[in-house]
Amino acid sequence: MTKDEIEILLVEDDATDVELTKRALRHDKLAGSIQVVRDGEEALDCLFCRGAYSARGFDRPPSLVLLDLKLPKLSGHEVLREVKSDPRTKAIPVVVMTSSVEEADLAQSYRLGVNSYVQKSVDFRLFEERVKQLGLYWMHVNEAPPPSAFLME
Amino acid sequence: MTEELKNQVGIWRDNAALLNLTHDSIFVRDMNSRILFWNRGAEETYGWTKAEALEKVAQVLLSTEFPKPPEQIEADVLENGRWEGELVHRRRDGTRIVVASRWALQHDAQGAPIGILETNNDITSRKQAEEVLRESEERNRAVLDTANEAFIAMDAEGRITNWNHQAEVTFGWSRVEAIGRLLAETIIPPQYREAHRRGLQHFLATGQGPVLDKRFEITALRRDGHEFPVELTIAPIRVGPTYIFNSFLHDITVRKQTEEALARQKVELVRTNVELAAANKELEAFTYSVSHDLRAPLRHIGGFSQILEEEFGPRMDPAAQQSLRYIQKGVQEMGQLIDDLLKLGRIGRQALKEQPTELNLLVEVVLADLKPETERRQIEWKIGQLPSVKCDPGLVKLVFVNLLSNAIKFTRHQERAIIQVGQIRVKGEQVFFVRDNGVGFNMRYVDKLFGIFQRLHRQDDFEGTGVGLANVRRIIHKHGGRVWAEAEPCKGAAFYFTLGISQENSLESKSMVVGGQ
Repeated sequence: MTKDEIEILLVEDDATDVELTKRALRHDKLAGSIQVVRDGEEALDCLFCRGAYSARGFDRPPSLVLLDLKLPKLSGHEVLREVKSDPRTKAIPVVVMTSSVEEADLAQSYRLGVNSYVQKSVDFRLFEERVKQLGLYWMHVNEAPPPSAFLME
Repeated sequence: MTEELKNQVGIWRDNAALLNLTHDSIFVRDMNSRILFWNRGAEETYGWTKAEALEKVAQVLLSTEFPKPPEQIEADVLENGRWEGELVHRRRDGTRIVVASRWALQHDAQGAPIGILETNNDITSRKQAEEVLRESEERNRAVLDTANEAFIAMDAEGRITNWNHQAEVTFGWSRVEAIGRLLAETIIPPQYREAHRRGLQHFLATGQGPVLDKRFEITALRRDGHEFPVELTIAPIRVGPTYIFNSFLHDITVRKQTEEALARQKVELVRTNVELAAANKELEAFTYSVSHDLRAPLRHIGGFSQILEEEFGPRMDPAAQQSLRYIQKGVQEMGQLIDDLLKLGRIGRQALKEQPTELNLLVEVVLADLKPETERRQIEWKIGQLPSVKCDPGLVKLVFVNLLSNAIKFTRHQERAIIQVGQIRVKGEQVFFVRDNGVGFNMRYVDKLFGIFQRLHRQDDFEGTGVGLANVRRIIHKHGGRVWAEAEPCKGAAFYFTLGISQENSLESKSMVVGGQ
């Protein structure tokens, strides 16, 4: 999988949420190119091409990162800080997708430069709808950052 | 006049020049008190000339006032040959003088008494000075005795020389008992006596003492052995070659106890603050956990029951389908509870952002927001004139949202719902109210009304989580106001609240508020 192109990097420690997210995307072709990482450390390994992901290159970043906030080892905010403060990863669209809509979580995410913030609704119908829309928007409507966006300034 | 006497008078006259040298007034009288001799001192003292005084009866001329009956004095003189005492005389100009009088009996050659020589020394001014001094000392004593401070004086040997009334009260020794005692053995606890003795010696040797002329605290000893804290000042006063030490002091037991109680309270307060901070931190962690962790399993239950319904529903019998719908309904309610719970927590933590707020505008906005709930309803709105109030508009809007949506909800079964919003003034305090003619409630349960998750209606009759009124109370309390309710089953309910701290701190009775409308 590491050799293949990653369309969506799903950073999610909860296996059931992973299952529900994949299910929501099941009718979309996107479902096949989802890479799941289960904690903040693995997410950074993947994004910074190190450890188990050292075969990857910075020239092929994921098109979208779906990032949970409450994660083992490193929190979603810590991952976000690393990604958004490094020119090699800064341009990758990151969407926080989490249960909480506490003001503190929202504010911190936007301060760190998140591209979008979506609540994982308790209502599954709504959850499914949002995940679909997210995939549709970021993968098909949005224009992805060009390679030059990842160059050092 | 006998021969003897004439001779004697002649001798005095011969010595007149000598007797005139003294300032004392000297005169001689015979045994019938007739004046035979009158020197210059007597002329100056009394204003009577020798010519005027001679042959006059002395006590008549001088209007003498005796300290005891004159016969007794005469008897003394005859017996002892002399007498001394104080007399009061009147001078020629009428003024009274006090004299120190000395009488000496004169005898003839055979030893028979023939007359009395009286020497008088004017001590009027000395007597007056003594009187002034005595009065001054009495005044000083009176001042010291009415002082609330104990006053104690000590000499250079460490003995008590003065002891006022308050010292008697404070230490249990009377003035008479205390004066002359060693101070150290009277009011200083045994363990400090050596230090006191050394301090006194040090001062007498060097003129220096670290405790002199300033206020300090020390432990003192009462007669019954009780030790207690005192605050005192000691002032050394030089008197000739030596010193006396004046000290004012008072019992500070009560102050010490108060200080200690305050210190204990401060420690307690710090501890409570630490606990509170810890509790707040825990609450934050709790809120975070609720916000993140509690929703996920709920989503999973809801999600998979829905997947089940979608994918296998057609093959399920109707009872199984109904069960799935119950699961989904439970998930929705639980989700709503979590949201409400978090909202309540947020209101508690949120700082007030107060600004002048037009309450009528606020109510209009709320009514517009509640349109979906009122659209197919017959509701008569009676919105009174509301003032502009300094409050947090976001939070007070929430108060009206809760109270008005409650009013809408609980008038659901009325053919013609009446909902009233207004203000009344009770004892100068502004009281706002929202009243409806809905189902009301039994006042027996009024205490539960504002409690979190407390409900007075069954979920089947009126849906809700029991958080709305808890929020209302929290917001009103945050503004320093009060909130209360009045109702009767089937007749409606009224909710009252004040915004801001009332002018009168007294809680007026509910009936007065209701009766005042």
